[in-house]
Amino acid sequence: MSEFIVTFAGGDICFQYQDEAAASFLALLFADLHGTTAAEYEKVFVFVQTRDSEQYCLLCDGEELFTGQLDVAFAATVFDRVIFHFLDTKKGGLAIHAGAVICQGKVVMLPGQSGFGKSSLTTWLIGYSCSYLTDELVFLPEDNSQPACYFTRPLCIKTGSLPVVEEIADQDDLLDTSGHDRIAGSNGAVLPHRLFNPDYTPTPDPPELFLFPAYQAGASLVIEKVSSARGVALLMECAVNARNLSGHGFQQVAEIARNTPMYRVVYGSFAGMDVALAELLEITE
Amino acid sequence: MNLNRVPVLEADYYLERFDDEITVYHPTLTTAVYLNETGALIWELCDGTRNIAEIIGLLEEAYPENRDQIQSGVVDIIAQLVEKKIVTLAEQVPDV
Repeated sequence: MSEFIVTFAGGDICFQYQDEAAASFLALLFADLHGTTAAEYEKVFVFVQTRDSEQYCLLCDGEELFTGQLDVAFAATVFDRVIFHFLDTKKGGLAIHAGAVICQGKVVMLPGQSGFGKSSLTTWLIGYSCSYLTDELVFLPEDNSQPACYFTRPLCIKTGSLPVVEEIADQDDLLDTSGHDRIAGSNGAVLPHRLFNPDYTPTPDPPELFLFPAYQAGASLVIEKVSSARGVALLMECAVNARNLSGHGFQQVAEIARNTPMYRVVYGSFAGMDVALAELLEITE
Repeated sequence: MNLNRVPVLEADYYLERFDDEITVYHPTLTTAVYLNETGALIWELCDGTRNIAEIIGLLEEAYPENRDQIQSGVVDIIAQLVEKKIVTLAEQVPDV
């Protein structure tokens, strides 16, 4: 068995696999979280090819977690399991459900629960010459001398958001999987972020600006300042490992809110977003 | 809402003040509530001894120019806190 190590926020997970297809799948999913061999792993997942060679089983602790082709649904399961593991074990800081990009040299974080338009806005920002960091998870250590960790994964695009992505990418063959470097299906796509983000550089910097997306169909663009008190309430809703932390991380969230500007972005389309964002970045300079 | 009820805060919450605003977080309920200046004032008055009518009366006395909006404002905010389960409404002042 070969091993593929995934490292995030100081934790290591090992995937064991046997063939090239599984290796390529893991390389697509975790290209930016690929770690080195460790003496011990927090969790070991095993890819086993079934007798029907098109299908794979994902096993962990002897339990069969998923069986199917190495497609969008399989990728979603792998991400769910890995992220759940990290959330379940991380104690030294806050894990926030959020997108993040680097915009004009500063990390902009977009916290939001599912359905708030976090991924769409993150994707739009990549098209607005921001550099992608994550569309899912950020870990902010309690000790702020430690690096922030961004769960940099491929863009996981739901079917409904694909038109936005195609427009941003300006590529006719975005969903062409013949090169085996991406996955696409009726339920969405997993696309390497370097398609949009060729100059990707990881950063340990903490966020300098928070944008809370609030997608509302048909709404005009409104960007409003969020007070620190309101920011704490909004951020606590996205603190996915709060139960692991002393005081549920409330003090850390309050500290972040006191020191970082926060805005709420209500939008129904991206019309006017470029101008509004440029103004916002100037204000927070 | 019965104005004779007494708002009682759930125990063991965390509270953070930011100027005139507050955020309250309850770890068991995993609920965070943001209260603006008015909400923060109402929160302070929910000391487990005053009923809603008394809270309204105190605010009307302090802010007579806002008398028209105070009752509905207090009722709305207490309803929000009750919905989030951070406040319960007792029929009378609870024994301490």
